[in-house]
Amino acid sequence: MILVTSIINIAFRAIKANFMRSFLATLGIIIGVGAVVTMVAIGSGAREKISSQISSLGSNLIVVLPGATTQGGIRIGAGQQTLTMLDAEAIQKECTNIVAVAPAIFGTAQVVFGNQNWSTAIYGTTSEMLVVREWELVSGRFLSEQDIKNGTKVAVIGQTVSEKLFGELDPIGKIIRIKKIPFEVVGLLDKKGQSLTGHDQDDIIYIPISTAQRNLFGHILPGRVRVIYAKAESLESLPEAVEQIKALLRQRHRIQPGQEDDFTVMDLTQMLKTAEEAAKTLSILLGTIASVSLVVGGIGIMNIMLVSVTERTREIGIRMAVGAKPKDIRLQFLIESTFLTMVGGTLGLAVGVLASFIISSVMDWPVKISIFSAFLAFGFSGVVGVFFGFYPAYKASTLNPIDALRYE
Amino acid sequence: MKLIKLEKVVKIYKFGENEVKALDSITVEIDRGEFVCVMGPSGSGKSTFMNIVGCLDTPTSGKYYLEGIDVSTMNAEELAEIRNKKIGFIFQQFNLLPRAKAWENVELPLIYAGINSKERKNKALEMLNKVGLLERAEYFPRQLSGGEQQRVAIARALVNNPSILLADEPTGNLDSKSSIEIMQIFKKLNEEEGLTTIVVTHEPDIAAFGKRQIRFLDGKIISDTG
Repeated sequence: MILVTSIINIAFRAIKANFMRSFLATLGIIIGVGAVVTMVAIGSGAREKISSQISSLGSNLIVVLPGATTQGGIRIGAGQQTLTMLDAEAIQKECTNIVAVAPAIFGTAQVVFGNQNWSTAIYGTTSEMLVVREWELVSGRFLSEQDIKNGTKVAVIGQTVSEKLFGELDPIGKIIRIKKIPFEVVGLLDKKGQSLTGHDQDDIIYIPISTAQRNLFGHILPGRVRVIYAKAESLESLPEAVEQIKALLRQRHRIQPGQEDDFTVMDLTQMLKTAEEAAKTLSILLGTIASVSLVVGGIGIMNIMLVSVTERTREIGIRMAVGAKPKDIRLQFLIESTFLTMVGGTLGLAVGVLASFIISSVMDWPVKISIFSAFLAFGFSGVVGVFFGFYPAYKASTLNPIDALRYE
Repeated sequence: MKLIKLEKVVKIYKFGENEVKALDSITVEIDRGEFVCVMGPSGSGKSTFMNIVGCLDTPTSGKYYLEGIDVSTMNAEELAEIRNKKIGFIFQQFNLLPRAKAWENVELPLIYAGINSKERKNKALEMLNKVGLLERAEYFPRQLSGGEQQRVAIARALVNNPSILLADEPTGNLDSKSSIEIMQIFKKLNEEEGLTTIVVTHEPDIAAFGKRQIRFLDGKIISDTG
């Protein structure tokens, strides 16, 4: 039995002897693996971004807005005040697939603390909002049932608002003025980042819906709301929950069959899941395209191995004359080609990681390098080495030793 | 039991439509310890004879027994093993690996015999010493003279302790002084170690070193002094 280490040694020496040629052949694999790693990283990054947006939105979220949609999907009659607190309560009570509901009215107002002031979104809502949006508190508490009932002047603020008004100070217990009315800050929300449309979700203040209606947004009729957020039990029950809400609201608003809805139910999570699927498809597509370059790289290796076999015909003849079996010769060339592609795979991985970081920083695109794609690219390059190395190795092993020895 | 026994060996080469009978029913026996010189003009079949005896090729028909074993029907893998263990080749062109040092060339058969690297180097150096080239062990073939290269080739042929030494025109590329040196090495190996040696040549003074001469013509043996 011939020692494999000896054969590895032989193969390694042959590569060293033709370093430049070996390197150029490997370059194809380097580019191929680099492309796969980079493309998959870009695709994964896109998925990651969408996933984080889903979780920042609150999963299984349904948004109900007043006014109908046209067929093109554009909301019209947004100013109509067709949704009520009672609608929200009815959804909570009657829709079995809904676990939490939070109605809200909102507007923009100037907020003042000390000599700082900031214009931000004011949402009047109920205590359920925290659950529906799956939002965490950094400190303090959220709006309580008591606050809603009594219309207390308390506020829970987002990170951006806290930063703009308080800077380094602890906002809890401080008094801020919203449209000159004093509110006590009772809670600070955790950071959520940008929404899907790119607006800052942390630039927000939550106050009790009763207080907001009475003191801030008097133009909104009492009991009317501008949006209802609802949380479905699960992603699977989302479409059914949407239908339940639609049916319930049509009934409550006495909309005749054939008549248009006077509200819009949007199911954002589902939309995002679709976007995530699209990103996944993109990822696979990019990976596939990149794989083509890996295959081209493999053909480059095969080409160089064939040249190498022809060039070393005499060497093969000598080895055979002194007792190398066809399988020893085959192994020698297979190890050579696999070694080339594995080195290419390793360098390609490095190139891919580097390229990903450059794309990430220059183009501001989120990239995610998965261990899996790294192993995949590496393993695949090994397979390419064996696959494209096999034919040249086979050809070498079937040479007739007499002819090979005579070859000039 | 004879070391080499050929029975009615025929070798036919096909070139498209044409058939060439390189060996025409050769029957010959060679015993252990013989020093045989094979002579004949080019195309007489002496090289084909060597290839078959050296297990590089198999006969079209007929039998070849090496140490009593029928090798005429063996496949490529089996023949390779026979070549590795039983046969030491020496060629006109030396056939050394140009990128390997002298000792690395010598250890080559041992690689395929599965010997570990330390033992390989020891044996290789031992063989180089035997042919008087120990101090050239780290030289590459291109740094050696023709005679020295052929001596490295002899060391390589001897390293795995073969039953037969086969030399195909070993002096064909050498000056007369080196030729005689090489032939004296063969003679010494034959006389002192009893190594069976077969040398193909067309030079009568080289053939004179042998104890037995076999002449080929048109694929047949026309004379045999043995």
